[in-house]
Amino acid sequence: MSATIRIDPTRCRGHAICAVFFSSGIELDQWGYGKIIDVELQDERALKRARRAANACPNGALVVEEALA
Amino acid sequence: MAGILVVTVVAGRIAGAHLLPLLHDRMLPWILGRSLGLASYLALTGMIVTGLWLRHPWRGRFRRPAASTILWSHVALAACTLTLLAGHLTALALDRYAGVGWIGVAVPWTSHYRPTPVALGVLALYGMVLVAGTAALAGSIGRRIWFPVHSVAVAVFCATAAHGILAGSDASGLRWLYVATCSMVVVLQGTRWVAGTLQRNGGVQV
Amino acid sequence: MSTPVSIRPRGNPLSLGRLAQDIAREARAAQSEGIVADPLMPVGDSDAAERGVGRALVGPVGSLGTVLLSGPTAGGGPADLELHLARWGALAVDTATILDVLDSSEIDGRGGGGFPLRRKVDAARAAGHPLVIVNASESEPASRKDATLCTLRPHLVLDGAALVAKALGTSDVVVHMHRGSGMAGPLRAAIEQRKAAGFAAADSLSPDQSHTVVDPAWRLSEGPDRYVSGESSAVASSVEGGEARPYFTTSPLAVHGPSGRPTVVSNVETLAHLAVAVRLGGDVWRAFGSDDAPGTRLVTLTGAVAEPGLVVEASGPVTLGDLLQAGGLDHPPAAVLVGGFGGTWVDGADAWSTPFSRPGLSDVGAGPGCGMVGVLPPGACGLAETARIVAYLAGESAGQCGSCVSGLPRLAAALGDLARGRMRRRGVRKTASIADEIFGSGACGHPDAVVRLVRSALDVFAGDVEAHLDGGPCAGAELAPVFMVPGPRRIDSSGGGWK
Repeated sequence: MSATIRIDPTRCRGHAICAVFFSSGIELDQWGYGKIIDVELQDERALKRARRAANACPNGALVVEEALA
Repeated sequence: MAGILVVTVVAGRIAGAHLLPLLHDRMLPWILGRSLGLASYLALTGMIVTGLWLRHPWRGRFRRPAASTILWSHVALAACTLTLLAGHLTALALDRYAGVGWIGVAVPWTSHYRPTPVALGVLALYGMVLVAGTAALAGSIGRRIWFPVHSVAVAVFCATAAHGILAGSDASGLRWLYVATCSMVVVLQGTRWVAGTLQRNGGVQV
Repeated sequence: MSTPVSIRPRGNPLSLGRLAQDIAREARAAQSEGIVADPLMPVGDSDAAERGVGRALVGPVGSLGTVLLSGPTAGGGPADLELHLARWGALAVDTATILDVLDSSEIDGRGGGGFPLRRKVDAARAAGHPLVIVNASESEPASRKDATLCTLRPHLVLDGAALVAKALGTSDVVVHMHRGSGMAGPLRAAIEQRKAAGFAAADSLSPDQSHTVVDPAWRLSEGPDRYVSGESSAVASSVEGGEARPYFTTSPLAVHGPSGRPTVVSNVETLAHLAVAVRLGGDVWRAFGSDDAPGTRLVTLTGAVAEPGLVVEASGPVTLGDLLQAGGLDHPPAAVLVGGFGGTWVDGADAWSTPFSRPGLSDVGAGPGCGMVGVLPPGACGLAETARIVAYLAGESAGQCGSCVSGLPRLAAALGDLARGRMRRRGVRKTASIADEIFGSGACGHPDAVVRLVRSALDVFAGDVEAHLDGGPCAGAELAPVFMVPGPRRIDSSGGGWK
């Protein structure tokens, strides 16, 4: 599986919602802005969580991309 | 040992004398309903305040509380609000003093007691359930649905405040509570709007 | 038109080809005469004066002399094109050769990113209908090399753009600069000269195999004079009618620009080098530099040098010390600011023998950036200088990314406190931790550049930091600034400030 998660810092407003849905892949800085721990998503579980986080982000700041197999 | 026995007996006498009659009092559900309603209003205010602060452009100027703390408080207060709300509804459905009844708490304008103020509460209830439900499913339904729905929360707050002031039987005693909570929300929302507009137009000046 | 120059030399450039020989002879002459003063630079405008940049001069540093800036200068007059053609000849090259030269020369981006031009061109060739943007937005307040180049050698810049356009099979080229930069005049004049001389404007594209390089349909564009507006995605966005602010994208501009078209944004110096390399041959061009630093490089000297704003062309194996000598120094200064205001401090003694190449500078934690080399004299306070620069850079944030908006003002305030001696030891640790949090979090490199500057300041001026913590500000903090930063900007409240 090859999938990536990136954060658009121009959209991120630091609501910290992504970290609720994908705490293992996103950490927050002191203002609540998300930082991606690992751009590559390791397994299906991580991908599922990343998608949830991307869905939930009110600003659409998370970009999850899957390479076509 | 004897001391404990004495305290227990005295406590039992007092409880029996004062609380037991209250349990049989026909006013109990009303009083319980009122206090639960007030508590859920306070929880709702806390929830709205944390939610607005999370979105506030000025939040970046303060290190604490951290965004995740605010978010978790917001969620916890939402859960509190819903729980207290369930108590508020049950108590008032059982109450015979005002006689709102099961249908009255579920269908707007069916209550004989102050139909419109009660209806505001019923509508706020549905709004609250909608807002909380979509937010809980945010990861699946996507931001384009849950986030616009989330702004209904402000209407829920307004309806709830109106409901509290108009439907409560002792609103005059709580005047300052309502003034304080409402002005808190108004100030937060107002400054959020002004700061957001300034920021969009002017960029950032240091 | 002049005969196309065709040189295919191997080995030492100085023994090969008429043109290379000419350049080498001139270089030797220039060496014996010292710096070639060129009074023709129209850089004495009020804006430049405000920025503390004086009259610009050009001259060679290093053993191999000037290449880009070699030869006589008409100074933007109508004779420019004649002189240009007399020296360099008309372009006659096919696409395969252009790509070969890009490959063998390893021309890297000279705007600050250092990204190989070949890779941008390859990425854009893969997709359809590319756009070429000539980036003349010289954002670094103290840098004058792009302005110098566009004024003195506009035809080399335009030649380079025409070559990239040919390699991409496109005729869409936009020359973009900051509003009021003074570069529009000479560039527009150069384009007019080319049109008058019958340089064919491309209506239809010539086939790949052809050796004819036609001029593309030139378009000039101007954007707001803001620091981050020179960043490539901001430039591309501005050219496409958007705001001149950097934006986030998961695919490179050369694959997917703001309008979806592959967009190659290249610095003017990079393009001018291509124009030279195609004529000399990639290997020969390379050999004008050193093994670690292919080709020559334009450098702006600023700060405590004899003539701030002096632009020199570094060729051969050049050390920072060589460049400082060109600025009139005969011994190491207190410290050197390398790469621009968004650059890195290097200790003066270390700097003197540091090779001015990417690997050489990387050993001292720096990079060539925009090619600015600034001198901090002994006695001046590096922390006070850094505080002013960080305050300026914080104010130049595009205001988009949270950590830049929230973090840079804090860094600026912290540096200000430190410079004024109002910080405690705990504050220094806190400053470092804010810097760590900001690093790598922006859509563009702006916050990272500020973080590197701050880190290098805390490192290079560690002794001063201790002194400021113990005994308040040093005497140097009260002196007049060495590096002049532009004053705070008036923010346009109509929201049109980024167009």
